[in-house]
Amino acid sequence: MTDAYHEPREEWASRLGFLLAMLGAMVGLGNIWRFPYLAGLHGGGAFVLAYVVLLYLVAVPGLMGETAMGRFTRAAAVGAYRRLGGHSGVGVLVALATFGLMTYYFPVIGWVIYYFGHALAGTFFQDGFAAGAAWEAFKADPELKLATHTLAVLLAGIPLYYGVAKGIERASLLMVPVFFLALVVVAVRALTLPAAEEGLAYLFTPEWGQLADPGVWVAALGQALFSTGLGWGIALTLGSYLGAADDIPLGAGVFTAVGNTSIGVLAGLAVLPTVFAFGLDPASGPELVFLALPQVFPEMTGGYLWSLVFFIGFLFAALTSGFAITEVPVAAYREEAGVSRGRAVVTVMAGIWLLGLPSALSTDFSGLMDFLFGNWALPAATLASMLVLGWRFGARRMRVLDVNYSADLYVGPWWEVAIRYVLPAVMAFLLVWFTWDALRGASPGRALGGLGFLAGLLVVAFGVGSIRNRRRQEVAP
Amino acid sequence: MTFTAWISLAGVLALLWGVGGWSLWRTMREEGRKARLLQRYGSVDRYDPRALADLEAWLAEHPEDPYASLARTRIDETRRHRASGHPTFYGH
Repeated sequence: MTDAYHEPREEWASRLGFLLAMLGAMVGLGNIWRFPYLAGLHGGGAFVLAYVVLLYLVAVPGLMGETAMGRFTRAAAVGAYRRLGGHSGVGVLVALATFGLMTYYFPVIGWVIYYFGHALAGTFFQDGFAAGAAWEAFKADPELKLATHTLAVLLAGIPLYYGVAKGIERASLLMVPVFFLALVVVAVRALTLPAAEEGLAYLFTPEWGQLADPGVWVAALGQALFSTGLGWGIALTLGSYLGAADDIPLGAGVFTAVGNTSIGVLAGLAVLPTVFAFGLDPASGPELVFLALPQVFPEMTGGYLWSLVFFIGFLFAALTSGFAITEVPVAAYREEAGVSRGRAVVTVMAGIWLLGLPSALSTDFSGLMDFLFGNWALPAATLASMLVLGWRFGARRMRVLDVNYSADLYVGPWWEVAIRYVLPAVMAFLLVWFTWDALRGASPGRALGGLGFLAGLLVVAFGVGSIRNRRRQEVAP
Repeated sequence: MTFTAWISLAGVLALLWGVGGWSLWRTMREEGRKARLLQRYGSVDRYDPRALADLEAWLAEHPEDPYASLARTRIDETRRHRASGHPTFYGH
C-alpha cells in the first residue's frame, strides 16, 4: 500500500486553524443551554463527574480514531470507509445522517439570526416588548422563518465555498475566539449578579446518590457523544485535511473533547447565575435562550451591550457548527461525484435549504426529524463507524501506523480496547435504550416508525454504497 | 454554596479548563518545534520510541499485511532521521 500523504489535497494553513475549526464544529447551541440544564437536573457535580469520566473513556479515544481515519485515508466519509476496507454504505450513512441533521439545524440557526436582529435593533428594550409574544409572532410568520432559514444557509455557505484554508479556517479563526470571549464577558457579568451563587450551587453541588441512577449516566453519555459529534464524520472530514506532520491524539482528541466541555461549563457560568438572579426556570431547555434571557437583558445595567455580545457569540457558535458539519456531505459529494467545490457546495446547500423547509416552517416537523435522526440515524452512524475502525480495519493497525504517527502524545494499547469494545458496546446500548425509552413512552407507534426509518435509511445507504463500491474499486492507500 | 460544591467547582475547572488549556499550549508548542526541525533538517523522527517499538512488533507479527510496506517506509523514515545525528523530536 502507498502513502496517501503523497496525494494532493487541500490542507489547513495553521495548527490553530484546525483546532478552532474542530472546536467550532462541536460547540453549538446544545452547549449553551443543554449542558448547564442537564448538569443541574442530574445532580450537579455528580453529573459533571460522570460526564468527565465518560468524556475521557469514550469521546477522547473516539475522536482520536475518527480523525486518524480521515488523515490516514485523506478522503471524505464515503471514500475513507471504502479505503479502510469497510463498505461505502457506512460513509453514505454518515453523510446522509449529517445532511439530515443539517436540514433541521439550519432553521434553528435562523431562530438565532432572528434574535440577533432583535438584539441589534434593541427591541428587547422597547416598551411593551414581550418575549413570548415575539416568539409566537415569529412562529406564526412563515415568510420570516423562510427568510431566516435562507439567510442561515447562505451565511454558512460562504466559508464552505471558499474552501478549507480560505473559508472554514479563516471563519473559525475569527468566530471561535469571538464566541469564547462573548461567553467569558457574559459569565463575568452574570457572576456579579445578586444570587449568582445559587446558580453556581445548582451546577456544582454534587448529589452523589444520583450516580446510582442509570438515567444520569445515559444523559451524561448522550451529552458526551452528541456534543462532540463522534462518528458523524466531522472529525474524519476535518482530519482528512491534516498533513503528515500533524499530531492527532493531543489536538484532535484531548483538546477538542475537553475544550468543547470547558465551553459547556463556561456557558453554565454565563447562563445559570442569570437564571437564578432573575427567578427563571433552569429546566426551560432551549426556551431559556429564546424566551427567558430576552426578558432578563432589559433588567441588567448595560443590558443592550450584554444582549448584543451574548447573541453575537450564540450566532457564531451556531454558524461554526453549521458550516463545519455541512463540510461532511459537501466533501463526500464532491469526491464521489468528481465535481468542483463550488458546485458541491451549491448542490448540497440547495438540498439542505429545500429539504429544510418543512423544519423551518413547523417546529413539530423539526421535532420529528430530531427524534428520527437523534435517536437512530446518528447513533447508528457512530456505531457503524467504530465497527469499521475497530474490527474491519483494526484498532491495533490504526494505532501503531497512524494514531501515533507525528503524535504529541503517545497512545498505548488501552486505546484499542476503547475502540473495539467500549465504544461499540456503548453505542449499541444507547440505540437499545433510545428504542426502549421511545417504546415505553406515550407513542410506541412513533418508535416503531423510527425503527422503520432507520431500516429504510440503511437500505438506501448500503444500496448507494454498493453502487459506489462497484464503480470505484479503489486501491487502499 | 457548600464546601463540597466549591471543591467540585475547583475539580471541574482543573479537569476541564486546566487540561484543555494545557493541551492547547502543549500541542501548539510541540507542533512549532516539529515545524522548525522539518524546516531546518528536511526530516523529523515520526514516532515516539515506544510507538516505534509497537510498530516494529506489529510488523514482525504481520509481515504480509497489506500495510506492511507502508509500515517499513515509516519505520525507515524515523530510523534514518535518528541515524543522521540531527536533533530529534522525541529524543532517544
